[in-house]
Amino acid sequence: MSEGPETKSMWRVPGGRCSEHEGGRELQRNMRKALALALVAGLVSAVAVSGCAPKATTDGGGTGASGPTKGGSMSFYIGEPAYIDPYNCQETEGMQVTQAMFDSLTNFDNVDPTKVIPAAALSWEPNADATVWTFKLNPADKFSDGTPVTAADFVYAWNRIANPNTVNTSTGKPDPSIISYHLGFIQGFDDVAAGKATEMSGLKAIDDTTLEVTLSQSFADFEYVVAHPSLGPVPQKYVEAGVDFNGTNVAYGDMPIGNGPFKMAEPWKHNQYIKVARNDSYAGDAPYLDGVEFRIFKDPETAYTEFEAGNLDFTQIGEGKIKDASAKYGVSADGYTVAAGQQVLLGAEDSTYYLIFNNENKYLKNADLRKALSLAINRQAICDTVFEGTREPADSILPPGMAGYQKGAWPDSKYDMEAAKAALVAAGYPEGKGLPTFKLSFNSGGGHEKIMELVQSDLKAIGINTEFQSADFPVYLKQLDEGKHEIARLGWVADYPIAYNFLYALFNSKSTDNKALYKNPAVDTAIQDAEKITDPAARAAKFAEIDATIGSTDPVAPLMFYKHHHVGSDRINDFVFNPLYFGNFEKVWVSDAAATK
Amino acid sequence: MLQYITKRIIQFIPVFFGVTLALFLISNFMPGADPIQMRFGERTPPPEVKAQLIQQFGLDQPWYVQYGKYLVALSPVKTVDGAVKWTGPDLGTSIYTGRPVMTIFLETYPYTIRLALVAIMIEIIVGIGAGVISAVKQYSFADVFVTLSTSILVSLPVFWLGLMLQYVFGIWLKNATGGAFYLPISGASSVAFPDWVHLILPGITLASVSTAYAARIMRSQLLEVNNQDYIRTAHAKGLSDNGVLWHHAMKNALIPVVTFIGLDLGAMFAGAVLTETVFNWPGVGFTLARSIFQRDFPVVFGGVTVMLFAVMIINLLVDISYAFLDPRIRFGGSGE
Repeated sequence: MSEGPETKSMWRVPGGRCSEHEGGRELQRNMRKALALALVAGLVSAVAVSGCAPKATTDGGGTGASGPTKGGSMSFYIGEPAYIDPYNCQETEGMQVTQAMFDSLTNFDNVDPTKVIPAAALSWEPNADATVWTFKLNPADKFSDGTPVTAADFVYAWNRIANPNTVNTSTGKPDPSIISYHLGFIQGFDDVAAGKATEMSGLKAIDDTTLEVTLSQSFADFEYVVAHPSLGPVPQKYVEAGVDFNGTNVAYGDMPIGNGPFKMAEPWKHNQYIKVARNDSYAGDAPYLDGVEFRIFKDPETAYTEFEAGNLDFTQIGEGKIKDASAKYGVSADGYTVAAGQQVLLGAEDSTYYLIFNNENKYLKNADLRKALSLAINRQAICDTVFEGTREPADSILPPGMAGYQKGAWPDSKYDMEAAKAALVAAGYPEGKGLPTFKLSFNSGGGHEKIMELVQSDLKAIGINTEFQSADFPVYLKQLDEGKHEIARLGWVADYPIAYNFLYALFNSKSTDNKALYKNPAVDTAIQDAEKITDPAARAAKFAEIDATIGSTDPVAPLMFYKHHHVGSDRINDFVFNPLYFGNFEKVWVSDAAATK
Repeated sequence: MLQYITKRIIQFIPVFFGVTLALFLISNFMPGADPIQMRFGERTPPPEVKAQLIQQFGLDQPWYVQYGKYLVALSPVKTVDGAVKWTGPDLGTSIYTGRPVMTIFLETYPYTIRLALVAIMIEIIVGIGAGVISAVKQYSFADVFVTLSTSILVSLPVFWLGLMLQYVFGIWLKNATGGAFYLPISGASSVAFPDWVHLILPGITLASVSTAYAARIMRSQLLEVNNQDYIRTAHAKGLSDNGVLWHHAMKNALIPVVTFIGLDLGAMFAGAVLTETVFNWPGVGFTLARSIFQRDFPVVFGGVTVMLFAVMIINLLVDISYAFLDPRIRFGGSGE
């Protein structure tokens, strides 16, 4: 697969010339010398290397290629996924793999991910109030074994996700999906989730190429939900019988069969790699690459070292090395696309880091006090000092690039000491007098200490005292669930680029992820109403309005938008790593394709 | 000998129950020990899914019931449909990945053993060799060099040494030779190299500190033994230096070194988290460390169980090896 030009290189073991015909004492003397020399050489090189840097970074640098060429492969860093079987594919690691192997009904546009484009469905249409969706599937769509994909395959796959008794193919035991919430709007979901039914009543395969989905409420953004890579079609026979690989039966979970541009080349080699190869049965445009090797690393630092050695094509940049990498490899013009000499990606992601204020706290329910807290935090300083500028100060809870985001939507999400002091006076606590020492909570071990130190000193500057309360992640989450927190940190990552994904989850009074305990019936209703608007532009405008309404009272303080901190090699071209954290392998081509064929 | 081995195996029973029981108690009473929440990260799990998972993994049952089930599952012989059958031990299912714990360890443990054996070989050859040279040539350049280099090695953080080796042999050397000569930086296999080449850098890194200790222990033991009367007698009898060294001094001097190396091998069989992480070695150490963080208790319990058996077997082998090194030792007997 990922075979570089260096494949023939081999380390030659020192001392290989030592002859067994030499005399015993002579040999002893030589060996003593060799041992001493080897030890000296090892130590000298270990010391000498401190000042060394690699001269070149990647092999086969191909700026000479004139256009896309078929062939070759690329390697891509991931951590060990929990699952690559789409029914329970829950984190970015596994989703990188499934989105290469499965085409869901729709897909996020590669250029503008706020738009959806056809994938397994050629067209789709909601009814007037967006409660019934009809998808027309591509009749040419096939699984990688050549069998056609039908609407029934989607029905099977989705019911498999919703059913809590779904069996894990590795163990044959029930293993409920933890991503079933994606389908929560479909009529009959609650019955299936509760074990009262095995099929959602809202899912109907009208014929082989028509899928009708009835929702329990209006949801105009449903076309985004069905773009999620875990909602692709699944072939029932392989799930139940396993997959044959060179005469060995492999559990579907270790070798899923899908309908995407790539297929598994061999079963998942746990903790080492996942190799996928071009799917010749793919209904869409065939990818240029022969395959992709997802190399599994325990530590991104090691992956970055491999990148620097020229053995890996795409990875995260090691901690504290962003500036160095930017100077060495060049920064991508749009922040998402890798091109030779513009290889470092720093584009904003669809995720936000924010501080929660407990809106039911005796003091923090005062909106002016929350305003003062938000205005007092120097977000730019945090981004610069802690993250080398690889995060961006947040001016809204909605990240940029998401429909509904408006620059400066949260007017208090900026650094203004004088305004903060004035707000504190308006709150009735001039210079912080009369306020207790607030608990500033965060989970330990995630690098949040440095951020919280800056927040603490900023708040201190306007007279508000805080004390750290850090806990191990599970303990911390439990504290948030119990509502005992005062000021705390959290991050929110979008599943799909829609405002609903943020605003409902974080601010609906019934949402379990509303840790700020924000309650505003008007906002609850407005969010539901917005999802009845089928015109995307009008819906985005409505969400922008709701976002501004929420932001006007600062229930939370958005601090930063996450940004990519990734780098690609100079041999890969047209590789897009989008704001949702998905790499698009369909259009990638490598400059040295002929050499690596 | 048989009596001794039986006695040691019987001694293992309270150790096994003590360790596993302590582990169960800690996991049940430690704050925030909610593995289901860990799977959902910062999201709140849907109540029905959470309830299903809790019930499935028996987390709603008292710790002693969970412990009892763990012991029953561990038994290789079980009653199936009324008949007693050999089913093999069942270590349960990972909460985080839904995979059988036994499968996880069967995948990772061979890599841990492979790396540990390479490291131990380095430790034995280089550590004992350097210690002997250092002691035999006391105050020579070689002695000073060994003493100095072992002092440096024991003070070097393992991960730093690993990183340096990666830069020297993986990047610097590759660039310096135009890609002709270099060593793999990470992983257990690749298209470019035979698998054994992948063991070189992690093996050296894992062995480094222990090799230095082994050399120092060997040196001090040999120097101590060399001052004994029976060594002087052996010299007086006209035996050659080598004869005295290999036939008289080494057997006694080796016992503490073998003890140290045996214990070290046991520790290595428990996984080497830092070395595995730096070199991306697919062994058991990182898997276990990650499971502890994720509160994936079945994997933690399974790992500890496997390691308990591994350490017990190694300790037994080390004890047996004493008999061959020192004839005064008589297992299970009244002694001489």
